[in-house]
Amino acid sequence: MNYALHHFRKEARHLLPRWVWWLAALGLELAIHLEWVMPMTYNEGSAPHTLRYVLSTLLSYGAMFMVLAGCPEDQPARAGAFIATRPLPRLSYYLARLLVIMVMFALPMLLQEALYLGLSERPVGAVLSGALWKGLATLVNLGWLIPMLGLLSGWLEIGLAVVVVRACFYSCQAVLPMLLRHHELEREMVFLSPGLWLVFHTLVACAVVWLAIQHQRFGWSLLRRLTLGGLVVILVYSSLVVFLISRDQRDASDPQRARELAQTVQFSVPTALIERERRETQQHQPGTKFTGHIDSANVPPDVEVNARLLRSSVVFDGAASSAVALDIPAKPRAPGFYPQPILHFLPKGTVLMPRSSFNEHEIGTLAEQQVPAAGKAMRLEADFACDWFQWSAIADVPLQRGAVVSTPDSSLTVTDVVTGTASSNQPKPGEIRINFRHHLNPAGVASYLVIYSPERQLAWCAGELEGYSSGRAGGWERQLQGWLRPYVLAYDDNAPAADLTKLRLIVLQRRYLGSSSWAWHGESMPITQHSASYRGWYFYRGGMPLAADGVTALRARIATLPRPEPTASEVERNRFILDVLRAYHAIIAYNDAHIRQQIDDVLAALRPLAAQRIDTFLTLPTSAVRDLKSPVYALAKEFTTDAQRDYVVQHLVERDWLAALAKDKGWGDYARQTMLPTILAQPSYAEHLRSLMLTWDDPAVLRRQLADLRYFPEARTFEKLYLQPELRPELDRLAAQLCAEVMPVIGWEKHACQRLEIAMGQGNADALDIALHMAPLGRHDDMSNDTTETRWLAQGLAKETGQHIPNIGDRSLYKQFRGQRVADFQYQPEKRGWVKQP
Amino acid sequence: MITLDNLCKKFRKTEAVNGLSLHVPAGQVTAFLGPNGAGKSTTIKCLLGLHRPDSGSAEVLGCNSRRLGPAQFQHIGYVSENMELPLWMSVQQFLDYCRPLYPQWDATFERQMLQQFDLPLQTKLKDLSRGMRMKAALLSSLAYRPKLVVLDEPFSGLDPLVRDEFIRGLLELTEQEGWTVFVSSHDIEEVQRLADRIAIINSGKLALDETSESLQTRFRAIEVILPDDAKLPTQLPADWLHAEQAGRTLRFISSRYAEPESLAAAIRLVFPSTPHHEVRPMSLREIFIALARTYRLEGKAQP
Repeated sequence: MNYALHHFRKEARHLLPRWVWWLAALGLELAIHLEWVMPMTYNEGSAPHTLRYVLSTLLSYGAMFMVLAGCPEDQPARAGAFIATRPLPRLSYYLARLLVIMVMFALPMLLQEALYLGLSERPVGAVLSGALWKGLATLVNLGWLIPMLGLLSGWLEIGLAVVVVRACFYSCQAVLPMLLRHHELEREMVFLSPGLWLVFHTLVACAVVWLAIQHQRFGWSLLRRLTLGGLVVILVYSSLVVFLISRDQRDASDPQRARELAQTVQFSVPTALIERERRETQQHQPGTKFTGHIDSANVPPDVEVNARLLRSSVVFDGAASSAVALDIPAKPRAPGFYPQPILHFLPKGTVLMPRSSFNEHEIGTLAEQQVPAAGKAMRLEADFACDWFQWSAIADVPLQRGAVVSTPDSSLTVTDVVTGTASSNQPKPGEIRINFRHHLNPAGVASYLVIYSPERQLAWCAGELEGYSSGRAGGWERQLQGWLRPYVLAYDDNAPAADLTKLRLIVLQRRYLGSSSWAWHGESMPITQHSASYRGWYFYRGGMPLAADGVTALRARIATLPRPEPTASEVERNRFILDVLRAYHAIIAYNDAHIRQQIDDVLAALRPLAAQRIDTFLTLPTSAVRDLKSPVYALAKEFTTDAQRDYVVQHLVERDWLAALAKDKGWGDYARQTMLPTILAQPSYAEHLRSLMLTWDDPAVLRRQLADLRYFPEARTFEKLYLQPELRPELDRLAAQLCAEVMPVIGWEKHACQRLEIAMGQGNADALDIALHMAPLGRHDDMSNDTTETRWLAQGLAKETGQHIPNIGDRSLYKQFRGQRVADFQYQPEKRGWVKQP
Repeated sequence: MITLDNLCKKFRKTEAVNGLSLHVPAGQVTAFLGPNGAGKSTTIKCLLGLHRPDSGSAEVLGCNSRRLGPAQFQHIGYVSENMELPLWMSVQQFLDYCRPLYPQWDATFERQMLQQFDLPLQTKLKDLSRGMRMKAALLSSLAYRPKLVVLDEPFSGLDPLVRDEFIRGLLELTEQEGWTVFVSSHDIEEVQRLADRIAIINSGKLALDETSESLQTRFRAIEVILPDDAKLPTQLPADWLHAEQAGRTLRFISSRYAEPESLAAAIRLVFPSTPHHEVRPMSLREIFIALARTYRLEGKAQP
């Protein structure tokens, strides 16, 4: 030990000038983190943020550089090293280097963390554990460089080693997802888990020690050292990734509760809700992607469960013919949507305004070449990992400046609540900006903020906030965050909607309990409709950057397409049709006049071909016919004759728009006569086919539609069926079930508006209440994806309440509901609607 | 002190040391000579454990070179022209660092050498001249009175004055202390004053190993005045090296000189009517040059 101390003094003396600078940078970083210098502001530019990042990087790489450099004359891997012929035991040399790391780097880091946590008024336990962890992490992070010194000599070799290690990492990241069938393997997943991070470095350090000893004994060539070093990295990293994937309970706070929940909750994937989308699969092969809705029953209201697909297979005739791995998040994630438990903490009937909504799961993929002869049945099987989360409310306080919410895991202060021009340069109506100072441990329990307006019975999730953090990668973090939201205090025409002083701030926490597994065995499904060759026939909406307005851009695009000559081959004609339609779908127009003009332009371009080759148009998929105003539909309606009747009728199941065409052409009865058994065998129906079937008044079809209402609630169909007295008891039961499932979350579930309308028709006051404060929202920012449906809700509400029904595009559609309350209406069963009380 | 047995070391396709066997006796100064690239430094690095021999063995102070450790290095002083030194340290700091590594460090001897070498204590090693730096290295390798001193081209790059000072200093110390010194050089002139024993290596093989006294005894420069009609025979005795004729004068080096009578007899055997010859003793430098030329020209293993 004396020799180690003696050599440590030499190393320390050598590093001292550079180390003093490093220490000063460490102090500066502490001052920045504590906001003694460069305090965070809500309007700070990128420079301070960059400086924090650069400083942190500098400290990290500076420490690594100094550890690697050491005293240059003593590099143990060099034959001419000064200590090579001096009586300094190698062990003492390495111990001295370890002491350098401990005393000169780990200890200052530890002290910095302790000071930061202490001055941030963290409890003693948190200060001690945080500081110790920081010191240990620094020690391990730098420690494995010591055996590297015995393995590599000179910066060239070290540089090469860095390149090799990087290459090995990238190779692992490229190959492991394929080998493990894990397509979204997170690159840093090993490093996200502190324990595994420690294990990784320790294992690598042990392996490098062994390599260094062997190198000292046998004098290995650089090639051999680099090869073996690379193999070590690959083996250790791969092993940890495999370990991590196989172990699904990491960071679980209560695995026992997760297991109990898994036993009581029932999952199902209704066959009717399984959708097929023809597209390229993950493997870039054309195929069909299946998505489904996972239903969960008996889930406690404050519990959230997310199902992650682990693997799936498609089974033909009892034999699994393919096993396809899909997007598998490797660890529980923050919610991509705002789940049901948030509603649990809000007053009943509150409408929640999330930013996005995803409730569909990918449940399988079928490559095109795997489809056997048409007419066979197929079945999907899949394994899911279910992640369980416990939600809890930790505060419900008035939203005002100075409001403070403190828990052991976080401290949140509302520093400002501003409106109008104080919130942004060009404020939208009713805009409100809330600034928070949030001190928290991001590795702990996640916090979610909800702003609640009791007057409007609306709540806004403020989960994803814009702001700055003090730059700490872990531990206790300081964040300044801002939340900007228009239309909170006023409607889009500036009419007042809510009082600022009555807004409330609700803080929720979400804790990961653990994970369980669930194996799903789907029901048999016909696969005839999956076998068509649709490669390249999917029309994606949007996606083309525009240099001009939609009309000009589309005209310019169409002008560049070579128009087929009268003598052109069928292939050339088809190519032109597809190119025009692709451009039409990709170039979006944003106002009604432009939309109409685009349609006229496409009609002008395609009409000559449609007149000659309407058959080609009839083969287009549903994605080519966005709605019945689509130019394809208009051309088909114009040029389709009785000669195409059989083709249209035979394909209306797989191309729903042909069902609308059949109805318009008066071939509905013919379709019923020829296609009824086939249609009844389908697991579900699209919109136009449902509409066509309603015209048949066939008892079997009506029964089937009643069954379908369970998953495809539609007020118009419901009311049509309600005309049949024998169906009413079942319809009443169904309506009660649908009402119970209403979750007033904008964008949560695409049939929510239909459920509300059905419930209103049944006289459900709660549904009317929800509709009355949802409908006035109109074309709200939050509803960009659901505008059409909300319009329908507004129209349905107007119809149900006997009010004026303006056109869909008319703003008065929404205005008329402002200020209306349930108490203003009375239900009249005989009319199956509500009337306004005088 | 040092025993090399059939030592071999290869770097890729180059055989740096090829079956070298050598014994360095205690208490003597052995000069390890050879032209540049002969394998001197590789041999020294193998015997100090800095290179791992491919085959054969090297024993130093009774210990296999592969197992040399702190216990042995406390008795070995090593100075090399390519030695890494802590240039960022001052002489004082450098000595302060080295001192605790050697329990037998002699502070009085250190002071004596400091005085002798005239080293400035507060100057950093990087600011010293090459000669002064070598002196500092030598001091740090001798102050603990090692049993074995290994010097690898210690005089290379030093100007004549410094070299002379350095050699004189080393000579004095060696005589005083009775050390075993193994010193390598590509020029015998540098070590002829020191060496008790000469070992010459050529192309990784030992070419010669004997005392300098014996070497100087058996090598003579001979000049023979030939008669007018005398012709140089195609075959001369094998121990006549570098025979050159200039007019009537034949000059050569005898590598097996014993006594004047036997030389005269040998000359008469080749030139029966030769009237006169002269014999001159040779310096070690002349002997070394003659041998080096012989190795280079004829590739001989032994003269």
